[in-house]
Amino acid sequence: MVTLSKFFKFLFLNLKEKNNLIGILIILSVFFFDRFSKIKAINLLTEQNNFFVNDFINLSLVWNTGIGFGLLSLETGITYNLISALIGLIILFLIYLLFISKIADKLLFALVVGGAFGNLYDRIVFFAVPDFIDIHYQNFHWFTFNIADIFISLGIIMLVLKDLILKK
Amino acid sequence: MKKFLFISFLLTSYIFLKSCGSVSDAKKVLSNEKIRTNDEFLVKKREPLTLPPDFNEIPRPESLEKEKVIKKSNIETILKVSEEEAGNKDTSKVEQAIINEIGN
Repeated sequence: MVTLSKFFKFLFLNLKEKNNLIGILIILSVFFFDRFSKIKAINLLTEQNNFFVNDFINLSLVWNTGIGFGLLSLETGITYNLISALIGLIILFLIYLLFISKIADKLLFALVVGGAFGNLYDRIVFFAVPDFIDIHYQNFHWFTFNIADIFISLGIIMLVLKDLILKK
Repeated sequence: MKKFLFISFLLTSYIFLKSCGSVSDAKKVLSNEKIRTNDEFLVKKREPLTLPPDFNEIPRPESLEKEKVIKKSNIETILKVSEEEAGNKDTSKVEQAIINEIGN
């Protein structure tokens, strides 16, 4: 509890820094863009089950109660709440990393945190995350995902590549 | 070591933060099974059923077959009559021939 209060104090003190404000702005932009896309997709896909975009992309609504790649899709409330709490802690740690890192890393962490907030919001409000983008080639379908997943993937991949290639 | 831990943390958090698909979908993908919920050919929304404009003019079911049967029976009766008539004509000719023979 003391650690958490120290953490929030640290966040509050570093909030005024210009680069951190840019990071927070990116987080909010990603979050609201994700929310907008999900609301639009849910409204569209409750009327019709599938929406044809082109030969490689369909919109198809799937509610995911688990984590990435459909893992831990459990019905039990305790496990679900524990996973949600763990995700919350990971997000807090990512915000901490955002605040202590350099400007380039701040932007990438902000993308990840914005997307993660979008998915966490759905987990708390709807008790499941709506996935609706279905990419496929003929009968080979990739996992259905959403806009938040795109930002999370982009941020994590860039961070890993940056760490592997640039840092010695 | 620090680098390894950082990348491990990023990859682990990636799985937790991301929310996509399901294991059943992955199984379908790996086994090349068609996912029936996704109809990639569905472009136009299905319209509700309506009566065609000339619905009253359309013949009722089996009415055409009945007409055919009636026509067929008419033809048969005509043919029978003609056959009888033809038969009568034949007999009359034979009779005429016999009478002619008797007369000779």
